[in-house]
Amino acid sequence: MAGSMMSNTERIDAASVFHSHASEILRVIETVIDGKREAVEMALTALLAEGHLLIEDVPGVGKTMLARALAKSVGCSVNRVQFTPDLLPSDITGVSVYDQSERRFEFKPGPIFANIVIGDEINRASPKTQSALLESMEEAQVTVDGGTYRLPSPFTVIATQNPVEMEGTYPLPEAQRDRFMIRISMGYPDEDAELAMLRTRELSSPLDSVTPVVSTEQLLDMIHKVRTVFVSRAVEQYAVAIAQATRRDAELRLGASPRATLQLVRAAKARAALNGRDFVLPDDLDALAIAVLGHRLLPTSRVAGRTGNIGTSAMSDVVQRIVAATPVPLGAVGPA
Amino acid sequence: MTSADPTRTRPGASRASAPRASRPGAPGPAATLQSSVALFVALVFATWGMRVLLQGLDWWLPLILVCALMVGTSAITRTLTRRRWVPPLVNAVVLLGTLTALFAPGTGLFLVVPTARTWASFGANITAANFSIQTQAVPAIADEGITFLLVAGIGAIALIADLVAITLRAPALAGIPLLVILAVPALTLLDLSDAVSFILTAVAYLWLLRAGRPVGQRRLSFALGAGAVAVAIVLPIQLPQTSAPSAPLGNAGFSTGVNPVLSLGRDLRRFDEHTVFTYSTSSGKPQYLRLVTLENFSGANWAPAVVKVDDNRTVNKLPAPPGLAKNIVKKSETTDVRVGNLVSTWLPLPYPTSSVSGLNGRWYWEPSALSVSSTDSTVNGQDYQVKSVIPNPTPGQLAHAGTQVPNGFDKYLRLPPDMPPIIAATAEQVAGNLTSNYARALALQDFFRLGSFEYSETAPVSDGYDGTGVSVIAKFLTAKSGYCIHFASAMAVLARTLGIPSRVAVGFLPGAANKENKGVDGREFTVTSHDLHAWPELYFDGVGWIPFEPTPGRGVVPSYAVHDINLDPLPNAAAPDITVPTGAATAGPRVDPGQQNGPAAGGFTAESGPPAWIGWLWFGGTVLVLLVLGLIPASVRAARRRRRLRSLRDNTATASVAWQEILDTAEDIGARPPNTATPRENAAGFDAMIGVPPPSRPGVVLVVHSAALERVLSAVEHEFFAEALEEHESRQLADDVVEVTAALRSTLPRREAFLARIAPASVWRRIIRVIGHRE
Repeated sequence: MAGSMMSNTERIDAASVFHSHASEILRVIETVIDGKREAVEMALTALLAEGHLLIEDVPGVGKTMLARALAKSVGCSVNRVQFTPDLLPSDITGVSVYDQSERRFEFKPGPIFANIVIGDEINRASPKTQSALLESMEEAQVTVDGGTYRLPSPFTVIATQNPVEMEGTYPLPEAQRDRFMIRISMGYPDEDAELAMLRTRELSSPLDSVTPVVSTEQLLDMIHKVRTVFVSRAVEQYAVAIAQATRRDAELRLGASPRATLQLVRAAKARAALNGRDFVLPDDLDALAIAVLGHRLLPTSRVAGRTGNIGTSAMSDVVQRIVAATPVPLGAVGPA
Repeated sequence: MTSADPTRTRPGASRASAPRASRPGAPGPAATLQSSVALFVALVFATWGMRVLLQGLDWWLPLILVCALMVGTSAITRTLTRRRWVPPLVNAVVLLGTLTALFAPGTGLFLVVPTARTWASFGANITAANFSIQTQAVPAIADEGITFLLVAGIGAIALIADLVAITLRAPALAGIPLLVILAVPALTLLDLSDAVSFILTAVAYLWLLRAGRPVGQRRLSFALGAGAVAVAIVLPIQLPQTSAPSAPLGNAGFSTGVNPVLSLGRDLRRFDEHTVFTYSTSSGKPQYLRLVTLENFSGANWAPAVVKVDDNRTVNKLPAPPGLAKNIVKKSETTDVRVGNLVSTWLPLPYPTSSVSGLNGRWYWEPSALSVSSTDSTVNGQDYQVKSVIPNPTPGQLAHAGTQVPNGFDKYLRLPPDMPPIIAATAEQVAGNLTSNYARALALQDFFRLGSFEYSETAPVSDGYDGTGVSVIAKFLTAKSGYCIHFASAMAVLARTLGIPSRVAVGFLPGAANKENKGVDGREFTVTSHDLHAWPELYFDGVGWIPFEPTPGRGVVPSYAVHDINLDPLPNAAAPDITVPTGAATAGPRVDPGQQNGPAAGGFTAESGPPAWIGWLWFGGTVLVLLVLGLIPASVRAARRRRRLRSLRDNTATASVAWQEILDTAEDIGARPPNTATPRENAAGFDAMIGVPPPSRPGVVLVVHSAALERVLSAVEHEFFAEALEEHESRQLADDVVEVTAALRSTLPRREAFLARIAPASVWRRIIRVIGHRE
């Protein structure tokens, strides 16, 4: 069924095809990651919204596992880069090599040339190497030695990182953080999930059983479907109002960028499609605000002092408060 | 993110982030212009109400201009800026500049920028206005001081009204400044007699309310305004009409001066009798003291001659009275007057006075009537001495005057062209066949005093013919009931029709002899506010002006006018009667509170008061009105619900109407959904209230369990946020709304559910929002 050819028929069929594909992907991933439905949905949301995903948590909670399961569930090219302090930019983008026989330089593409790039422990690399990702993530292209090379489509970076206070980490620069559409934390599994994991992992890696359920073309179709999701003026106003509020908030030093607003709406479209709707609800923005905005905001020192670090939970509280205080514009009639 | 979480903070600064265009209810430029025009009209009509206080209409034009200036300036300013503090500021500057240019010319820099001298000039204007208000009687002449005060005050009120009604978009609040303007005449005269200007202002006010609201809120704000106007009409009617024991003469406002005509009846009807002045005479005999003489009869009222400021007319020497021949017996008299509580620019004097001494301030006499008036002082607290020469003609001398009228006395014979025929007929019937003016005068006096007329201070008011005009006199002649001013003016007018020059004197009865406090030579008299009186003066060639007393039961008939005594009158025949306190001599229904023991003291006698059932009628009416008013919010709410359900069933309404009804119901039962929550979050909250807890699956769209609620929610989400409306059955939505709202209401205990229906919070919030519109 997964391999069945895509049906190019009517809208209602497209919707049901989209829905069945999405549920297949989620089901497959959930065979690997137990009890993390929210994180899994967020990851798929980023993929469908053509955004990049940042998974941040302590080691050993399944960050890499999620990234690999997601990559494996779709039939795309996948490359994995393990970031280390001595990793060089050219190790990612690729190098130009002199071809003696042809008497010219030939570009050898690096691991970035894939539909899905898994950047493992991205904050262990030096800032120089991290910034090598910048251009490719934003513009889906690589420039090496004067030559510009397009990256394949779809192109998504799924990066994992440890919290900054861990040893041997370089915090991601703000510009780089802003390029990730969604940041999620895995969190520890609950008791049942951890027990189940113990039982299944003993025998074999569950990742081995993951097979692609969606082809590249089908994934592109799904992405296209997400693009057509309708965003009403009221929802646009709501997104802008939230972004503006982060820029005025007393607890924030740096508010959400216009890119953040754009990505919030894009992610909301993907979420709406995943929930079987062809239009975005304000609820989608509410549900995504922390994941999309949280890692882009910089707190004032007061908040940092309160929490001891610029930790995830403190920023979540701030975002949640802002979202809760922003009036929801409605279509025809004024707010009650 | 759970729904309707009570910990959600109220929108603070982020509220302003909503783009202006999306703000509900921002009126367009056309609506704003209409509001401005409506406000201007309301202001113009409200100021028109002041005409009952002021003479002519000359004062009105500056007020119209200043209102137009204020409303217009701020309308123009609003087109240039959106900042709300700018229009009032510009208005204030313009008002100040206008006042400077108009009322302190030559003091301002570049004509309009006020300087220290300008403020001094303003101060002088205010002082002059205060003096003018204290001393003038209603209707007052709008001199420069009063005009300044009016323009400045009305300008400020227009500024405030424009600020609240248009700039702040709370047109209902503009009623307060308008009411302030309307209240000035009402407070001064103590009755809301000017219904016309009240109604016109109310209509313009309602228009303002309608123009200033977005379409959706018009009905409610209009109903509110209409209710307020209705209350404003009902309340004054409910208040007892004669319950105004007003401040003693001389406290506040125009009406406290002795008004020759308007306030005479009112002063007589006052409960609080108080001493106006005391006096003693060298002869020990009491005297009538005259304030002013009304000699110009327009047909509508009597007016005094104007006193001119002329340094040759100071009071140390008054001229001889006009027409007094040498052969008349005269008697010199010296009167010491100590004025207590009386604010008047007219001096109480015996007639004819030859000199006055001991006065403070500048006082001038007026040649025809020898009235004395001041331009800068009042009689209040003055202590002065009057020398007078009182003529005492014999009836024979009077009869000798015949019917001759000297040249230049035409104005004392002037009558309006269209007099009711009863006046001339009465005069003809009473005295038409008599030959001498004296005989005719006596016949007229007897007709009033000894005939079937009775003294009543209340009859003219209750029957609606209080005043002095010809139509009033005609009614008075029919009703045969009135008080001094009616007798005086009627006799004066009848005398004029018979060719006798006449005028009306306004002053005080001689008062009562004071027993304890002996005067200079043992006789001191106390004159109270109840002694205010009016009487006719008739002119006889060779004798001059002499008073008559046509009012039955009041005052004393002069010796020359006592009918039976014709050949050998007692000199000063009046004297023996005069010791009788005049209050007790009153024949009318007036009850002097000082002489009445028992519970009835202080009130009118029963015949003048309304019967008891009228009181109960009023009480019942008041309760009914309050009941109806109390039910208004509930019926507004019920009507709105019916309208919504009907339009849903007719398929003329969209899902948002259904949704709004659910939101309003939730608010009514005290669960007002926050506007910071999404419709789905709110719906989940209602779901929880109804009894279905929402699933706690963060990150997944909230599932609403109630099928009816979910249908409405889905439809409204499509309407608000989707590209195309969802296919749904509008009739089904109506049923769903009924089901959901019933379920919501059933969550309340019965008593609270009842209260929620009687006082629906959604209506009250709209009322508050309409009044203090701050969206």
